[in-house]
Amino acid sequence: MRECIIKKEEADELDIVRLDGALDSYSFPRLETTLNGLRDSQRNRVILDCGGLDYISSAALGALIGFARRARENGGDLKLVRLSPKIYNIVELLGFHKILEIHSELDEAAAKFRNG
Amino acid sequence: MELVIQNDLREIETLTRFVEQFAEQHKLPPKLSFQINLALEELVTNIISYGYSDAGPHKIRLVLHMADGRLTAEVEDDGCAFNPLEAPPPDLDVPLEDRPVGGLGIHLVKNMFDSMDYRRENDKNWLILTKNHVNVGAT
Repeated sequence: MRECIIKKEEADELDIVRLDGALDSYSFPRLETTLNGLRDSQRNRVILDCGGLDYISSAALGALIGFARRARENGGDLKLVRLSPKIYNIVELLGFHKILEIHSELDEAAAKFRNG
Repeated sequence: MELVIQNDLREIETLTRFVEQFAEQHKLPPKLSFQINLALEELVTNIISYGYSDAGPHKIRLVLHMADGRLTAEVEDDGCAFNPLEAPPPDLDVPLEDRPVGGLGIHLVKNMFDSMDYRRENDKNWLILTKNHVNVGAT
């Protein structure tokens, strides 16, 4: 499996975190570090682009829950976009599709942030 | 195929390569290879993270076997007794603010395989996962 490359970019009042590769129990703390950095800078409106993500463990998904909870407490959110069917299947199995906002396209999630 | 790893999360990469080799050898469909890897990673992560009462080195043994369309995965560890079959199912309807961050790995494992058997023997946990009607050579 490919090691996960995590890229962060700022777009207006949003932050986009792009994942490319596999997030397993060993590599997910790197995503946690990125998300904690955003939280510490009061950046609470985040889109997680999973278009290049080909694997995710429950530990990594747990990290997303922690961030999403804090973001919402601060008036923001974490929205997931471009999930492949196999990643969506895990998200669904764990019931995360009921508590995290998921969009098929990045623009759609960005519009949701803008329009509330 | 057999693999012995140490109780170190860096070994997850070794585990992934092991599953990939097994999948290649038996021409397993990518979806199944993904499921085996996910299930074994969840189990091994649990063992490494919560299974030991000391900080010393331990070995975890994994065996993958394929015969007559039936795939078995065996996980053996010398950690504290833990029967995943007794783990209560998570409540997936809990709202975000009350959602615990962990405790979901076993639920994933149960969903990836058709059956799970556990026994405690010689101070070791033995877990055997089975998947039936595996389509070898499928794409």
